[in-house]
Amino acid sequence: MSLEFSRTVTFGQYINVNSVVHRLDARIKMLSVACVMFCTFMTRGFVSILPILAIAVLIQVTSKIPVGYTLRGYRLLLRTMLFIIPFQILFYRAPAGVQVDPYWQWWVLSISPQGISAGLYTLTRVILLYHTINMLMFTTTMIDLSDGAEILFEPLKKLRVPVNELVMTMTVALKFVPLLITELERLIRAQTARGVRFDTGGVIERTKKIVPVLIPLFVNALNRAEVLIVAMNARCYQGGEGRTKLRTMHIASTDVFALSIILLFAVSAAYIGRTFGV
Amino acid sequence: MKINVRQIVVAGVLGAIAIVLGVTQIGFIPVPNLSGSATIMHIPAIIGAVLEGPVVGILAGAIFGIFSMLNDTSGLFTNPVVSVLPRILIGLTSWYVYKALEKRNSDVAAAAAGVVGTLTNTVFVVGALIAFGLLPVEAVPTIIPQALVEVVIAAIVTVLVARGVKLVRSGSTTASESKDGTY
Amino acid sequence: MITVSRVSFDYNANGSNPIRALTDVSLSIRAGELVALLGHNGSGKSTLAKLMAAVMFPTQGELSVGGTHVTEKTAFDIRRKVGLVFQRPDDQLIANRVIDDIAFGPENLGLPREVIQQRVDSAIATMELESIRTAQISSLSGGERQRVAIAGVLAMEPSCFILDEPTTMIAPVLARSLLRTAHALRDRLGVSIIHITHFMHEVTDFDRIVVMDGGSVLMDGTPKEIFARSEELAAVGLDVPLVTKVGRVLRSRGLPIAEPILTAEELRTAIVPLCSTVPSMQTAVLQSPDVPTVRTDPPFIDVQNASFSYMKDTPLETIGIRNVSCSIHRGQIVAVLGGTQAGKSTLIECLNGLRTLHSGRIFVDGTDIHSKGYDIGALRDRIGVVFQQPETQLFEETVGKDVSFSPRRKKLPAETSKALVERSLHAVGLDYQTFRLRYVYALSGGQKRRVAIAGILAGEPEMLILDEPVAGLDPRGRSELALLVKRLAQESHLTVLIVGNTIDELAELADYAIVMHEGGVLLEGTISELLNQAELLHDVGLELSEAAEIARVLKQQIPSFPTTILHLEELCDTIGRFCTQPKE
Repeated sequence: MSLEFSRTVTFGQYINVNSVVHRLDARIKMLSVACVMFCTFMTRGFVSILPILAIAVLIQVTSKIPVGYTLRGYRLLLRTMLFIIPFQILFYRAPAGVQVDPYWQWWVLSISPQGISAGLYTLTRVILLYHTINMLMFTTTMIDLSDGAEILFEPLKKLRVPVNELVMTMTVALKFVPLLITELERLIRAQTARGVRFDTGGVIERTKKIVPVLIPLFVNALNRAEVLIVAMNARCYQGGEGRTKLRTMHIASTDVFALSIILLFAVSAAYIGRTFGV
Repeated sequence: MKINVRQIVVAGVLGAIAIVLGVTQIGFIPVPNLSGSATIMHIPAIIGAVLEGPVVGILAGAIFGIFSMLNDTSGLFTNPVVSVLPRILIGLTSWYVYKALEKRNSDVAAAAAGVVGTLTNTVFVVGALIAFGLLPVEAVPTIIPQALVEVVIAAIVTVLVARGVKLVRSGSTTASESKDGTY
Repeated sequence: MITVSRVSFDYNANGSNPIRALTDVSLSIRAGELVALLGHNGSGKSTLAKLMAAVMFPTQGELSVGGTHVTEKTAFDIRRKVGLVFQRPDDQLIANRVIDDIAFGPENLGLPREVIQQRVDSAIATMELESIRTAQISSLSGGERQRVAIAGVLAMEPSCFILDEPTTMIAPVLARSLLRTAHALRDRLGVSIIHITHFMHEVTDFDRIVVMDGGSVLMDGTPKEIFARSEELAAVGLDVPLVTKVGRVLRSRGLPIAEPILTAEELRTAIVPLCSTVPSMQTAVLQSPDVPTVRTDPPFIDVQNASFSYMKDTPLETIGIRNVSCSIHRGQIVAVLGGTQAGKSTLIECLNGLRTLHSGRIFVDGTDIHSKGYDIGALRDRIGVVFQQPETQLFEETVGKDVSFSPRRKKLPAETSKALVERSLHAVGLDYQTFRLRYVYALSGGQKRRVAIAGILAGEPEMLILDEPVAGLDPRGRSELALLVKRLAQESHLTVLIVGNTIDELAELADYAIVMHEGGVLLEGTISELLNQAELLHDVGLELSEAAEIARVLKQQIPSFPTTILHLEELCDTIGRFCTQPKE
């Protein structure tokens, strides 16, 4: 069990290289991501997903994020997919009107070119969605994301959705992450010194060991919450109403241009998928 | 809906615990099955609901959900319907169960909230994965051992943490003698 | 500025068992005044601070700030006038980056953007945060965080600052710099400052001191007035600064010294004219350093050229310890001393096998702990570590359960386990019957710390490591715990290693001391040998005992003045020798 969380663990994946994508307004990036994700779900096959692939390549190139770095993030994803995709292929059920000619068949299991193609299409879609979110996280800081979200969801305030309060909750959570990591590290160190081995044992034994760490973690964290409540009151926090912000965001012409291109590609992907089903 | 400072801060802290359990990998307990490990990252949302009501449970769950969407490594949680929506429901269902049973016995109520909250997470996440064609229905049995472990851990931890926090708030100083007369 | 008239406050006022915290307190704070609020834990000083900052409201009586009556309705306006700085900066910082946190308050006030910008800039300038204005708060040091916290309050442009025990938890060096800031804020901005503290020596140059005890105001006056009433202070367990006592002793011995002396510099000014240029001969005789007994038996622990770095082989590599060699014999009491980042904690983590050395070796009873097949679990049973602030690491509900954790883990029979718990609790001065069923959270800070020590003792270690055992407690808790550790170290026959940043009464117990600096061993020897180099110790951020610190200041103008002084008596006698004017 590592004792160096606070030094090794980084939360948020922002990579500080100065690129066009990094400089884009966070709101534009979030809108684009939402749009690309939605349109990806509208695609129906390898043809319609091509424009989405084009967007992914375009962002990858312009963001100056090293390709190797992006690929390294795929290790865990591929492990999951190695489990999921074979299932998809073996249990493939053709939609109405599609002719299946299996290479092999037993009970409900089969291997067919249609099944393989459907499995690969799912894999492509998963990878593209994953890539889209990752690119947002690589090129945007958490603070820009939460500021952007606050402005982006501003209209929801009219529907009495407490947007500012939601963003503030996220801010409080982000503030506590490094503090609690240090706390967790201290608890684990103290337990280790009292003879507990965290790196051994089966499910039951590990659960038994984790409980004595979790309880002080929760209890101490909730105590700290009580103090922060007083502190926020003392600093005049009264909810989102009447609050102003120091930070401002500006939409530049590059932002409009970037959004237009992405919209064009994404919508065409959705259109091809819906209309031609390929 | 009005959210007060207390709810913001407590939900934020609990959401932070979920994130910390995730980034440090403490929140994953290896289970011998295909999908790897059982998670305890949803427990803060249950505890939020039990201690402070549905709003805190929902908010803490939402933070867990957003985190698992943005920090996804499996490729399965990029879709908010899979990652965020089920986690918002955790706080709601576990609060309902807790409220219904609290008067009888608060430990039983907390345990039940842990069970139901965990099942909410599992059922809705798996359900959404199936609905989006990411998981074939036939793969569901492989998840059962993991789900069982998660249910048991959540029940235990929810009871102990809820008891600990309530004890602190109650202000009593001395425990009653245990049956076997030890501590 | 602030008027408190006949205020009482109950916690849980509407509940079944209200707890009285303040009784009939009346007080007024003038604009631009620098006031210290002194008292023990539970004296009501923090409660009073919260009432003045309008985050709580009195049960009886009235408060007003700048003429405005404090009620829940006016709270928002009061809070912008009275800024509260918390004990731990982490408790009040909210945003991720410095600049965003400083802007948080003004944003809540709904000020126009330009005004916020201007206030943030000026707070950053005042607190000298230019170089870290866009830094992540989580990457800052404790001292920097505290400055950010103050800047955040400053940006609200309050007319009064309340500092709620900001110096209890931090190293003395940081405490001094914080106090300088408090003075500067008052002098430059004309704001009033209320500094809440346990420590007398911090407030000798304040305008006014208010002493609280048991929820009431006990004394209210200038430092000179307050410290002249040392008997009354002693009656409620508060102590005047050591230098004041020295002044009093010297005066009783016939030296013409004015009452009361408040700082070492003041004492120096009073003494220098009385000093003979050459001290009387006796001093030289008394100066002989005690000869350490040379141990010939093989050491229990032998550290040879140990080095460890964090994040080794990455750009973020930082040195933990480098080339440390030392040996500890059975039954010895050893002190490891040093300022912050000296490598003390890393060293003990290496000794306990929590970290693996990158080079060098550690032998325990002659066996290399990094050798193949070495039972590191057994090592951790033999070397018990009480980490800093161990009270936050207790996890069981009751005292008995927590202390019995180790015996239960080793699956000892119930009788043995019970006897161990009983013995361990007794060793830390807690009665078994009274405390075994006590809930851990209901204990005081000092009691929790004792329970944590008992938990380690119940593991029957051969060696006990205490990492800054008294840090962060109030003075009463400190002296009680110091007494306990003293007794433990002397009576238990354990090998004891005490880690600290001050040459205090605990370090003084040590047969042998190691001073660490920047990961390496800077000095080693007996405490009096180390004290010969007081100026060097001071420079590497090690705190001296109050008496040694006074001696160090005296030495600056009386070059032959010895610094190997630990106690009041010793200091008074030495000064006496320097000041004895030949009669003829």
